[in-house]
Amino acid sequence: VTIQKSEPGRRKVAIVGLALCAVWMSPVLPGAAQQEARPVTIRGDAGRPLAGVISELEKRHHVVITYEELPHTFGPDIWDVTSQVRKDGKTEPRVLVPGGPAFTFDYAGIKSDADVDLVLNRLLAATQASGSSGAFKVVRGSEAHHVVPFKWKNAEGDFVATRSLLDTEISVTGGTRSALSMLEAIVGAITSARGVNVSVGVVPMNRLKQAQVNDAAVNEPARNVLERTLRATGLRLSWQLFCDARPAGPCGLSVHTVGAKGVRIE
Amino acid sequence: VDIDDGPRHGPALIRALPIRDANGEVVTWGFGCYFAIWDENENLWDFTYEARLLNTTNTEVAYHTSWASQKPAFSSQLTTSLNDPVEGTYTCKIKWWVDSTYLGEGVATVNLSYTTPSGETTAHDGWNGPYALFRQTMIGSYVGRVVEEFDPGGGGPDTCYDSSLIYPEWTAITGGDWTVGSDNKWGHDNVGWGDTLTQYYRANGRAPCQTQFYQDMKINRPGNSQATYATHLLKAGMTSNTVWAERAGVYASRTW
Repeated sequence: VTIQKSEPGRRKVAIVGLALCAVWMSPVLPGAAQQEARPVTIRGDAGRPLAGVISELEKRHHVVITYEELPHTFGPDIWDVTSQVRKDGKTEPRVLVPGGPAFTFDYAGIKSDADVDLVLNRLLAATQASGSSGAFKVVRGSEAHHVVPFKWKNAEGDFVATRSLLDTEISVTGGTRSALSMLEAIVGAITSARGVNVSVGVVPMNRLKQAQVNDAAVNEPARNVLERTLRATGLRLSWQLFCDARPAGPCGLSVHTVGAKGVRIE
Repeated sequence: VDIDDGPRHGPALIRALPIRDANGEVVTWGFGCYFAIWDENENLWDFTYEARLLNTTNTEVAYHTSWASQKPAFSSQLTTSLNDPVEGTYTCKIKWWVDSTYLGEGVATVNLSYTTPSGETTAHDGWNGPYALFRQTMIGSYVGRVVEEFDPGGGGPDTCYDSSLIYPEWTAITGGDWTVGSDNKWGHDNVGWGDTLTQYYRANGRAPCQTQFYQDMKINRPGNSQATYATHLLKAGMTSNTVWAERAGVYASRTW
């Protein structure tokens, strides 16, 4: 594996243009519909630009958009950021992270739930055109839009058809347990089935420990089980599944809350 | 004997007292109306009453009627229980009849209000792996009430976090609610990173590192909005071989 030595920029999202005008917030104003909304530009910085843009869309529009990725194995797409990340002065083990190129994304705004799919599909096309490590598709959940990889660069840099980690069919024994315990069972089952070390990351721990679920799964896609578990908490929760730049992971499944339900028109 | 010179009914009384239920999910309150009528000369009469308990919107929540024949006095009560009754004024109304003559109505009210605690004390109560467990004691009696944490903002920085790593930064409380138990305590409030994250940050050379954020504590008030009763600063951190956490100035660390 050849590791690209260039130093990545920080994966942060900058909103280049906060361009939707006030008239969009006041749809009843006479003549408002005739006015063109200027596009909004979101820039996803290098590293995980797609995840950054999705996170920004979630915050701005209060829609649940989950993000999944796979372990990165293609050398030129991997950055060695040891000197930037390590604070202990050591040089081993190296810190290897995905090095997706930055890109900017323009969209005209989101006025309805249906617009979310349109915007996401445009975003995914732009991502692929920018040279990302994978090709993604949108899978509709019951109350969420899931951005899921279906092709991923192998070690030679070829795009090969793949299944996302959350497409893994898992079985979980039934019974009443905390949502956190269920989450751990889900990632444990994925780890066993795929040989990729997946663990629970940063989550609303108190909430997930308090929420009780009574569920089971038999050869069911992990995403379905996960979605059901999070829905059972009564909260609007979303996730990000990030993976290290190593074939076996680790990958971290982090869960976060999303604002009040409904598309926020801006 | 003339009724005008005969029986008199006393003022009705009403009381409301909290009754803890078994699972602590709600607080049941017992409401009782107490009333009596008597003839000081101990003449015998037929007494009838209608008793009503009205809630804060003057809706009847309990009713009873009864009678007694050829008695010099008659007393009774109307009781009912309500789960998490809303704040406001509850009314007891008693109508009396003596030998079919309406004698008037006795009215009593009680005002129900939920106080806001002046605070809580924090105690470290052990560990669940790398998570510090904190248990709180309410100042004042708030058994059965529900407390909830909220993010007031202002958290961070999370010096363990780096945008290129696989875990997001942790700069705000993540939400939780607890019922105050029969010992007037609630918990545990878990503070810290899990084992996987701790090992990951260490393996990537981030330790020693820490994060901090504020925690607004609010308590429920049925029929009203939650009331903030405390704001705490929470911290969590790790070194190469220890984890530590702090809540409201109470610090705990362990080898991990």
